Amino acid sequence: MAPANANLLVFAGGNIDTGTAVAGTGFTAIQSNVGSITEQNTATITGNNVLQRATAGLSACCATGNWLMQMAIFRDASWTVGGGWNPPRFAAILDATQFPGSDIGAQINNAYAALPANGGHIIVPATPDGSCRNITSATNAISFTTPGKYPLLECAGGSGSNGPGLSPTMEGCLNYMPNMGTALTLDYAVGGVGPGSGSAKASGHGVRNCTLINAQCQSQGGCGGTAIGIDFGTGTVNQGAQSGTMENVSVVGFSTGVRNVNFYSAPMTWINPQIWDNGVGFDVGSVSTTQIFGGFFDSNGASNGTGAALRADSSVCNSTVNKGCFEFHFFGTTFVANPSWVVDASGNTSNPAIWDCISCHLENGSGASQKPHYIQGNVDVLMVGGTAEDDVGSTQCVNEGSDYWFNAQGSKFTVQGTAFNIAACNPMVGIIQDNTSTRVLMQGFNMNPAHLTNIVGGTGSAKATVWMQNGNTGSPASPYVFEAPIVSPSVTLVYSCGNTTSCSNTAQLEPPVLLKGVVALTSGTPSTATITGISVFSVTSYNCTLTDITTASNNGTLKYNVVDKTSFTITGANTSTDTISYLCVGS
Amino acid sequence: MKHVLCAFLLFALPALAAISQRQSPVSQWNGGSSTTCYANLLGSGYHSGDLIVVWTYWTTSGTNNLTASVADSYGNGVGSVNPAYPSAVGPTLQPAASSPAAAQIFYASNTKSGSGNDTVTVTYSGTASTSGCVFVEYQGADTS
Repeated sequence: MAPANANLLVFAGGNIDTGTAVAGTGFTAIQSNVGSITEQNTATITGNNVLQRATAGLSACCATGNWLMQMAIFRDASWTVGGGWNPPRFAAILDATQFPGSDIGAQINNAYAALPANGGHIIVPATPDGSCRNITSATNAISFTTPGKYPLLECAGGSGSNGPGLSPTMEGCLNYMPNMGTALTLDYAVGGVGPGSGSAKASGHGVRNCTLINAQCQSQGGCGGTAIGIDFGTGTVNQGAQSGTMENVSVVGFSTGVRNVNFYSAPMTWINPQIWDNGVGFDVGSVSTTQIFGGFFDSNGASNGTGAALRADSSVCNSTVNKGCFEFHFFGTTFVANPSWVVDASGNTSNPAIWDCISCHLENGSGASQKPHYIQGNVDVLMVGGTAEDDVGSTQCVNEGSDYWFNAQGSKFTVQGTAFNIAACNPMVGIIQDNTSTRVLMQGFNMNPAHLTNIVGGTGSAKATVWMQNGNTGSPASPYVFEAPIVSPSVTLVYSCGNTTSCSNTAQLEPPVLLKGVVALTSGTPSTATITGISVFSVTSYNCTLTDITTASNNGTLKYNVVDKTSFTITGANTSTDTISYLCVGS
Repeated sequence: MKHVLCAFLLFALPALAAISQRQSPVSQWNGGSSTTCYANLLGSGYHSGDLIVVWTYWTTSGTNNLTASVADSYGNGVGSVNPAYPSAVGPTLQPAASSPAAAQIFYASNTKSGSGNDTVTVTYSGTASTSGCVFVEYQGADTS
């Protein structure tokens, strides 16, 4: 070690596993005990940059052993360097392993405490063999919650195995051992404060190159317990990691991988996340935007239908503040073998959540129980490009019957240019089930028309617009088959004059619906007939024209009353069983 | 003549080694199993603004994966909650030793004031087979 000045204390400690240690030349023993020695050298050092070396020896002339020797140099209070040069101190870049703590969690927390008030950079070096560093208790869980103190936690690259079954990686690994609590809490952002200036939101903070794993769990759907990998707080204290970036972060084996129910912890950006083997990958209830670029969501959720890669948190999605639940935009992300759902927004009964996926890959597992269930619940969907596949049939040839991939329950479901494929021997009826008023607009490619036979099903499918090309250029030969337009876009508009004598000529933007029928009155005072089970109207503002086709003179007595969009009642003359023809128009 | 002598001393001081032990070092040596190692720096000799240097070693019967942390009764170190001594060097492992050994140097600069003896404690993350610790208080060290 080459100190730059003479006014120094050279402190050294050594240990040897045999014999009696003694101080080395130029050093004065401080304390010793058999094979252990501490020593110091405070003699004046002549000149600058003079190499210092601490040595120790054995009192017995010929003994040898395994030495462990360390040296530290401390400067005195008058320490200066010629020319007035002040060596740089990277006060905002800290090595967590140089801080005290019973495990790496405690060390990281102490490093965070030592950062300047506005935050800084904490580095966790890789272990020599690349294995995980353990966080042994929930007490030592990593907690970045000081208001306005923005951290960037970086796990310096390792080349080891990162633990059994984990691939070699350039991420550093933190193994959170408890099966409860939260491994990493990020809730420090405040409005207008931080590395950014003025009222601008801070960036450059978050987590980089870290793997968080729960007790080395590597099993589809997690290993039980209630542990959370990363949590962004509740929004009652701070604003999570608002405007932060999570880059090359893996979250593995937790009950909940990532939880963001902090209304203010957005927007956030994730780059290449690896979210796998969790009960729930992302549990979200923050209405503002989250962008995810690339990455891999694998084996989150269980085959019994619980969990998901991305789940709406019902506890917050329906609150007054969090209306809309979440807004996630994915770009080039891969979802594989998530056996329950990729997106489960069934917990959202407020405004539709938003899930956009551009050039994404959706694929289920190949086991018989790994059904290709991709989306359900109250969420608006946009898929552009990419592909969605069903692998179940590739080895099992399971007849999935009337099962479906997407359950459209938001307000709109849009597909453009996505290729849908299914294993050759696997018959299945539907891609999309629409039993609601969801508007489906679908332009894509059916890569296996022989088995993927129904694009949109369900009671709401009549409102779907579907243009599917046969994407299989091998069979049949023509790649340009216009397959299944269920409803073409209508060019006919219905106009309404309104309720006054001056016609307002208001265009009815909904597709027009005509409903006709013939029914006999039931004799009574008055005679009536109630039409029920109507499923074609989306609103109650339809109008009907009635004609008594038995007794024309009774036409003047006919009236109708709309019960709701599924039912209306006709009334006619007393004690009549005449047959009534009706024609209703609405939307 | 008196004024001349004072001026000479002020001029000459920076050339001397300015760091020296404040009080006699203290230590503890554990020949058997232990999870801690501690000793008292005498309150009568203790001064605020000093430097405390801690060296500790510990061995285990199998793979040595223990870590160490240091704190004292005066609250020296870093951190507003449960302050602890930062590490200067290590931990450094010697896996080839007959009992795998590890050692580390900690320090606390610009020590706080207090009363009574200052108990400095090294806490290991598990049970060490053998361990030892040495505590030295220095005066004249940089306080930053």
